[in-house]
Amino acid sequence: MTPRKAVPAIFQGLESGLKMFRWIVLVLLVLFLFSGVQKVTSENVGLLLRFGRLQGASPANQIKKPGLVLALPYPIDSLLQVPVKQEGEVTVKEVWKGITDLAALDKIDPVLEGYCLTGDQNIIQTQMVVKYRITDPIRFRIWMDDPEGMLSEVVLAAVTQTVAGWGVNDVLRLQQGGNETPGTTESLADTVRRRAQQRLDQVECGVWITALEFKEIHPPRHVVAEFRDVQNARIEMETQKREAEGFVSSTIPAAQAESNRLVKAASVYQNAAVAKAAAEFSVFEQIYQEYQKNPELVWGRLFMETFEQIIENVGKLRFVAPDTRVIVSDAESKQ
Amino acid sequence: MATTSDDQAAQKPSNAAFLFRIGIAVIVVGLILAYGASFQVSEGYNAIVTRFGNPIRAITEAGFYWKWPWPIEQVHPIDVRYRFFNTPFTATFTRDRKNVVLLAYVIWRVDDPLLFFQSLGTREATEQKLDGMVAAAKNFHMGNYDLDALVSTTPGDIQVDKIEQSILKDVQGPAREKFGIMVEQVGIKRIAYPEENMSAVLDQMRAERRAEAGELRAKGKKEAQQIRDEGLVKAEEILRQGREEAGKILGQAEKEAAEIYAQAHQLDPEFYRFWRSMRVIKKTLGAKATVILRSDREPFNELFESSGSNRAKPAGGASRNEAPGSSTIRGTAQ
Repeated sequence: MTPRKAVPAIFQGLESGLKMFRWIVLVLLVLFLFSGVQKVTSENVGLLLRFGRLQGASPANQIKKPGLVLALPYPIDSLLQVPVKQEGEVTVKEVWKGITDLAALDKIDPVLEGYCLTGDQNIIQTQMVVKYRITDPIRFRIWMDDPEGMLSEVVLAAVTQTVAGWGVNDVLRLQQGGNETPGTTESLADTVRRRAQQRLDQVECGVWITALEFKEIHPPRHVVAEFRDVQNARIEMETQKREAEGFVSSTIPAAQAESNRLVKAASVYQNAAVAKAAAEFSVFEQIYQEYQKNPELVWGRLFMETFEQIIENVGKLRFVAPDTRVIVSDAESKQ
Repeated sequence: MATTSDDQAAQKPSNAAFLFRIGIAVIVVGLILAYGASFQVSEGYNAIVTRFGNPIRAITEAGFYWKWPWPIEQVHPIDVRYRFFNTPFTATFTRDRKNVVLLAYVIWRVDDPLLFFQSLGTREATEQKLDGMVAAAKNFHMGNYDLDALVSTTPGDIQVDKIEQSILKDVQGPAREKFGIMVEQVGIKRIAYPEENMSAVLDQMRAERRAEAGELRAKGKKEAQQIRDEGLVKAEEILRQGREEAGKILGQAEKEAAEIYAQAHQLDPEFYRFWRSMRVIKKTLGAKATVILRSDREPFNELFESSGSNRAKPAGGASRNEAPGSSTIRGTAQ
């Protein structure tokens, strides 16, 4: 009794501490046992590995759909999540360098600076954005060491080899053909994408390239000025043609207006001339009627009327005897 | 009594606790031993188990395996996933003695883990080995092709696929036999010129662009001029048509007027001519005209002649015979 009672307070405290510790251990143990239960989130599918081995008899069973997965705790089970519903993106910059960088010398070291050779032995630099989806999560996640890196490699090979078969102008406008026979246009992005996909399929990478964009594509900075000048020349050519067309579009209406004016003036003249003739005719007709009644009188009157007017209006009047020689000098006629 | 019963009561739970503790200890020790005597092979990996350094087992399936604990047996995991590396840039001569710099990627994987483990063992060693093999194959095959096989705008010239296949075929066999490695794909990733050729290439590019720009400008000028000329021709044509039409109308007007005048003329040609003459004289002789008249003609003859011989003669009759106006009145109209 006595020794039991004699247990020092310090040991009693230790004992209750140990009890507490037991409870903590128990709780941790339970937590550990359920730690394998995980959720596969909606954009992913899950792959369950037990002792490193993929669980499930067929690929359909092996791929766990989004939801709760009852897995055993580490190190027995592990759950890999593969984002099959997300679109991955890789930027390929290996054959690109900005054109704003300084161009000191006419040299490009291919080790330091990437570029592609075109079929007509020009140089272009490009930066691409490749978008992909995971079509086979098992191949992609388990059997590929670095699938995104591999994607970048095959895209580079595809772009290098495609560009090597195209002329520089076609490469820069991102398509070839279609000039001679419409409808046969071949887009550079499509061609590169197709070739890269073939390479990926050959090693069953489990990746589908959904889109390939050329974010930048241009000649190297050393010769960019000359390429821009070609662009300018093309614009100038169009401008000159537009100007000429503008000139034509103002010249032709002007000619039409002038032509119309001539025709109208002629019509006006026609009316005037005919009216004048008709008017004179009617005047004559009336006088003629008079004349028919009394020819001598009318004749004489007309003659005298005329004379009267001459005398009234004329500047100078001279009389000469018959058979007089008259010399009209310049001075006189100029008066 | 009280003491013993108390002791017994105190010892009973401590026995159970002791057993429980022993049990836990056994489990923990067992786990530690099991940890040392087992291993996992994950998917994407194989493993080689060595006993005192000698490989005795190759494990090619993922899962849980037993082994003798260290230091008797050791496990070497082997990555059998698809991996890739880039060969360094190497200058290669083509058949037409052009110098090109090529870079390839190689996709490979371990196919025979034991052979791989014994021959190369590491990724670095493999890459070095494959690099040498690929470079040799590349140089050999490029010697059979012209530069056109790599870079050309003529369809059908490019043989890169064929070159890649030849290199792959050359490398695949030996890599599998000697190192247990499967070379899956070889791709020519970069085609470049040596640095010293670059200025010539850039100069050529510049010359080409300048020529193109010049050509475009000349073409623009020519086409613009053509458009202008065509426009002018068209405008001239329109004007010509207008003039033609106006001319026709004017002609018509003259014709119509003439017809009317002819009608008047037909009534009495002589009188009409006289009437017209009078009108013309009235209109044309103005303030600046000088008129010289014969003094023996009407009406002023009355002023100069006093004899009555002419008086009997009717004024109109005299004029009529002499076509009046033509000789009696002469003037300079101004």
